[in-house]
Amino acid sequence: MSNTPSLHDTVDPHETLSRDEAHSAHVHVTPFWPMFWVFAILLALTALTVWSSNVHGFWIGNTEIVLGGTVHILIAMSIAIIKALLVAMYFMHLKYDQPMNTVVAGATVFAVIMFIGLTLADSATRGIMDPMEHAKVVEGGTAHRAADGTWVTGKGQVEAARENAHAVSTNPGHTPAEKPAAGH
Amino acid sequence: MTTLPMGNAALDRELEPHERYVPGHHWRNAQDEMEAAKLGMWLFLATEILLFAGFFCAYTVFRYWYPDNWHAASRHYLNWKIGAANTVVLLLSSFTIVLAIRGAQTNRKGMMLVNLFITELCAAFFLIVKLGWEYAPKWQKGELPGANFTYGGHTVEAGEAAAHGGLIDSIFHVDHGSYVTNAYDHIFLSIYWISTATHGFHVLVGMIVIGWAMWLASRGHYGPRHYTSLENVGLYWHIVDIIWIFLFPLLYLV
Amino acid sequence: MSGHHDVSYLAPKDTFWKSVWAWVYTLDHKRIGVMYLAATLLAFFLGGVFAIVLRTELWEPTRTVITDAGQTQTTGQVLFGWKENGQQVTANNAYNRAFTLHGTIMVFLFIIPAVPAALGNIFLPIMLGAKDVAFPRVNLFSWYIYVFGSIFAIWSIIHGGVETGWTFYTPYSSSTNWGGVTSMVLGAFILGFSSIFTGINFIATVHKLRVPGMGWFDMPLFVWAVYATAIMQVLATPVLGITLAMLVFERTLHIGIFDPALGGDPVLFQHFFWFYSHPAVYIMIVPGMGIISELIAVNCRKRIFGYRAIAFSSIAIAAISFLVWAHHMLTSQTAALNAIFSALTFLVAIPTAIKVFNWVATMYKASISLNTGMLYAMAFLFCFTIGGLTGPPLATLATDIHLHDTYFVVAHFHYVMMGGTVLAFLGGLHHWWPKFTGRMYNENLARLGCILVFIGFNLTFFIQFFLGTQGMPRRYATYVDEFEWMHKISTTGSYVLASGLLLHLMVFIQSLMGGAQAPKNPWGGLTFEWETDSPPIEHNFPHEPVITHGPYDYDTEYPPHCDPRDYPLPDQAKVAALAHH
Repeated sequence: MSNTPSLHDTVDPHETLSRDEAHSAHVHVTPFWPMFWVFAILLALTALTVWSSNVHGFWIGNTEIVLGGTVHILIAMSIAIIKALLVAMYFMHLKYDQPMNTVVAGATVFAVIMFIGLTLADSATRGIMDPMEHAKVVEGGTAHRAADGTWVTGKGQVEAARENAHAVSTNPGHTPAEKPAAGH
Repeated sequence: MTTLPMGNAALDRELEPHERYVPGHHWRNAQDEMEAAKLGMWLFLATEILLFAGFFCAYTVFRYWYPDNWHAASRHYLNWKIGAANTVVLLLSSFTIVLAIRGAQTNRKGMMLVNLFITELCAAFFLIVKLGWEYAPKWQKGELPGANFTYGGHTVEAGEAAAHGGLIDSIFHVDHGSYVTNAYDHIFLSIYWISTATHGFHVLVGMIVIGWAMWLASRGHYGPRHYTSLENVGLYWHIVDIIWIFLFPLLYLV
Repeated sequence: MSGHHDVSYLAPKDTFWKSVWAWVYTLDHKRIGVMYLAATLLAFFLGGVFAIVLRTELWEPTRTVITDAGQTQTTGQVLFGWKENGQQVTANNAYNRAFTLHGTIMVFLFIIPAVPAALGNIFLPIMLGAKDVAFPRVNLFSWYIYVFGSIFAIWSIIHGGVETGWTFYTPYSSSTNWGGVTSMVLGAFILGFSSIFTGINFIATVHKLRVPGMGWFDMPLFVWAVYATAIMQVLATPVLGITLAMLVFERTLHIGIFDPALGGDPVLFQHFFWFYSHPAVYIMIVPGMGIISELIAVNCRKRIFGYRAIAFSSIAIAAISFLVWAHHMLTSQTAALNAIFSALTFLVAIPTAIKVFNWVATMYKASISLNTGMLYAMAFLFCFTIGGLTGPPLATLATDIHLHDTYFVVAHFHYVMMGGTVLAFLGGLHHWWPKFTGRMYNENLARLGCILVFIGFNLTFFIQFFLGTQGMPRRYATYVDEFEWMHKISTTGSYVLASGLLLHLMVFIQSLMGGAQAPKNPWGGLTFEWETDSPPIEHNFPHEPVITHGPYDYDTEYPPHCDPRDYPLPDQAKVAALAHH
């Protein structure tokens, strides 16, 4: 590192000092016992996951509360998240490391949640949120909501014309026009 | 800067590689270099997590659509005891690699090598169990992904399901002893195979890089002043562990 | 750190083979950038050839040739003698292959690596005052991965071709029989890793290798843009990797996750694909926006208007990019999600408009030098704004039903990608050409090339908005006669565009053969790359540079290595004081 500026005057010492992320050369030595306890907790949580997945339900007085699949998956995922956090914070030193690494991990988790969450939002609502999908089709009618709350769609002119065209093209007496390129 | 200042008799010996480590020419100091390497590794781990997110996403969608099928398939095709054993082994290996890094930080070569060796053994155990006790029997019984699914003597023909339209559920209801195969068992097994195989591949890569780290450690390349690549190998190994932490309950338990 | 390092990074070694080896195993970010540039320009040329083939085919509405056997053929079929199971491919399939190859080559081989991996590699470390990127070996490795992936992609052209479109939608892509699809998908999968490694490298470089004293808001805006791009590259590309890997499994093992014939869900593939490919279009455009910030600031000699707003808008685009992917699927997903994604999509307009307004505000009352770079920046502003404003009709649910999969989408996409990224790339190439080659180019011919490209581009694509609104669907080899005059205009425009690009190529070749030696700072820029030699020396600077001013302090600083009289400061009192001093 040279102190000879090629073109300009001197460095502002303030700027040099305020340079972010400048850490001291101190190395954090991984302690044994905390790590051992983290390991022990991880084993215990594994046992807990296995045990909880086999619990059918529990009794309060004379009433059995049955745990459904959703509850089981919530329990298992909560435990898995706790385990992953423990591994990330202690084994992977996020707790002691430069904060930027935690930011990277956080951004990743954000992207994963968005990816799975929004994809599921589509897959899970398919056929539920779309009233027209269950509509009755009435030839020549117009789209409206019937008195019982269901939807009725009319078969419009375009659709009718398309069906006519299809009937013509499948008729062996006619020579069908070459189909357009199969671009999807 | 390959020698220490003259006149220090205690240090008048040939230095270990980690003691005379100098950072790359474009770095201002070793601290910057190590932090950048770790940041780079974390970014790489981010890509690993998002790679596996694809499997988790496919799993979530199909699990949501066919919960009972999923539960039955999980219980029938997979043995939670094997999965649990592998989980314990991976957790142990994560712990030992932490101890190996501690060995580097405190300049104890023996501790480093022993712990890396245990990690390597755990990884080998994991793969042997996976191949010998899961993949091989599944292969023989035809519990294979997608169209290769021949369990109970039934094949999924391409186009068959589409031809049946909404009746797909009825196609695979075949009585097979006490277990009745369900319509989407082959997709459960697809996700099982591709996600565990990809994870297994990462374990294999982990074994290779841990072996490389052992070789470097044995030649004195790691010490309190410099153990960047060992640290990064450790980070990689932990992410393999974390992914298994999620795969295990999802595939084997719920 | 002096002596033998003080020669140009391009200087050859003692013997020929040593020089070759020095390129093959170079760890110098500038050489790797130049290799990326050469490779991406080659891909640009190849993709351009396919584009011209497409437009030529569309010159006439129907068949153009009748063979001896009495069969009708399209021009596409005549131009490509592709065989399909030993037989001539059908005319329409030949067209499908041509547009697929145009799309895949332009997207995966050209636009994604062009700005960040080529220009970014050369200039990002220099702009930070660093000697190299954080991980030089990874950098070289990423270039070889790029070449490796390109071989797969090129192989698929020779070996049967691909006709799925660059989006590889299932079940079409999982059920076509011939081999081209698998190798193309594998190629795109491998190219993704190249992109990931470049992104990781740039993020670490920006965090850890800024020259001491350079804070985040002392970085040039090009660096901010490439940094935002790198975030998207790292977080989105792996999902493409897993998607394409699953598609390969689908084709080879028939796993049935995407294939409806096996109980899978093809719309799931679309989610997977667009989770990457929407951020991917921002991976393509955001670095181009960074170039425009540089071009406008330097050539207007003004402090850029709204520095922080431009910087943060890059990051905002990166963040929003992960939330809008399903607007590509407004006709294939559920109504509930459509509403959410339509609303989220409109959000993108905010950071984008912030940038455009700030660039225009920078140009206001500036003394603009109209060199080729600045002409391209102005062409960018015009075309990109049109491209941007035609986005909302596509994000609006009702109008999208009409416009989906029409030429309106084609025109919108090309106005953003070609009118945005490619024009910015060409502008940046001219702007930095003297710096990394050490040669000047013929300014007037380059200006002429720019004007030809601008006119040709608008002729080609503006009319396509009208084609689209009138119902011309994309990806069809034939059309009804009523569209013929519009297609003829579009095809004519594409030839003008191609001639402009070829003129640029000749200007560059002429510059390399006998261009004048470039000065250190031909345009009067203030960022670090203009302080070092042209071409830069091996480790960029003879001494670690010292930061004394911001990247756009044109109102207080004279540009280095320039005659101060050529670059008068707004404050004449200060000029007089300095002259007296």
